[in-house]
Amino acid sequence: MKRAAAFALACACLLLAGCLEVEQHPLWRHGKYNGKPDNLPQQALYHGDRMAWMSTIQNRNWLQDEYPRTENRGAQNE
Amino acid sequence: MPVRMKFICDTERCIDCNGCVTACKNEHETPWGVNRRRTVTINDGVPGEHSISVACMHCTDAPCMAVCPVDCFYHTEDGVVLHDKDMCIGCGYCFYACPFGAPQFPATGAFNHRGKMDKCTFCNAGPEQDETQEEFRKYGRNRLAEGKLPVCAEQCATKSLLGGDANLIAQIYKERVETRGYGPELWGWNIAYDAGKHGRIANTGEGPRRNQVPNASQNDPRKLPT
Repeated sequence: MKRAAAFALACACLLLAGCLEVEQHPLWRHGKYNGKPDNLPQQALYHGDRMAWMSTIQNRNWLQDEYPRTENRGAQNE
Repeated sequence: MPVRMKFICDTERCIDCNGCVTACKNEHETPWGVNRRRTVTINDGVPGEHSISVACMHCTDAPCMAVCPVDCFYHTEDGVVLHDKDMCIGCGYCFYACPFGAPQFPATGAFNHRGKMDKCTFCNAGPEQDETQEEFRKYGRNRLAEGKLPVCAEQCATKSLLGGDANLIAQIYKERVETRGYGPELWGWNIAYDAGKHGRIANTGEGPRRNQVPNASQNDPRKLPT
């Protein structure tokens, strides 16, 4: 009986080990993310300069905040 | 430090204009029936209704990725969830797994053939050579590679939809909530954010706002104006 229980337990463990948890954040290696070829965003038009690309993105990001723009407009009108 | 791209929709500002939906379809030239983004209105037609613009939220722990039998999804270094249409078998598991209904299927073939899955790419296209015709044909335009943010967020007239680096848009949103004195009404401010360094938010959750007239129809979704 004990042997059967141990066997069942081992089978359950093996079954559980078969459940694959996909690697959600594969590293970018040799131009690929886990076999899927893709460029980094700064490579196409920014000559691989990630800092330049990031600063452009951040500048545009701050343009979505209209408070500084309205404050300046208010100061101009005063 | 890697950028973590996210969307957030300020439901107090969204006016259900569908500008984001139209801009997205135009930018990526998505086929008939494929809407990568759409607006949903809660309590439609009732005073106090709120709208929210929804697309792929580029989850950090993405359920679509977890259920995909052919493992066609991946996170980019900037936190964008993309997928490979060449690997996709159109099984539709991701559609059932996604809590936001983001995966879309063109369903252009015969016998209920779904076709390859299509979804919001955060304007970052997919696994093809950047800025090529092939990439555009499969995944739409790659604005991130051009140093631009998603067109839906950038064209939003009320600046309701914010998209970009999670830290920056959270900061913009936080300043906005602190300035107007109350948080979003569709989800919990206290759950998502702390009270702020400028003191507590005066009005949160279900309570009345400082600038509202008590018992006015605008404050009670169930009381229609007469």
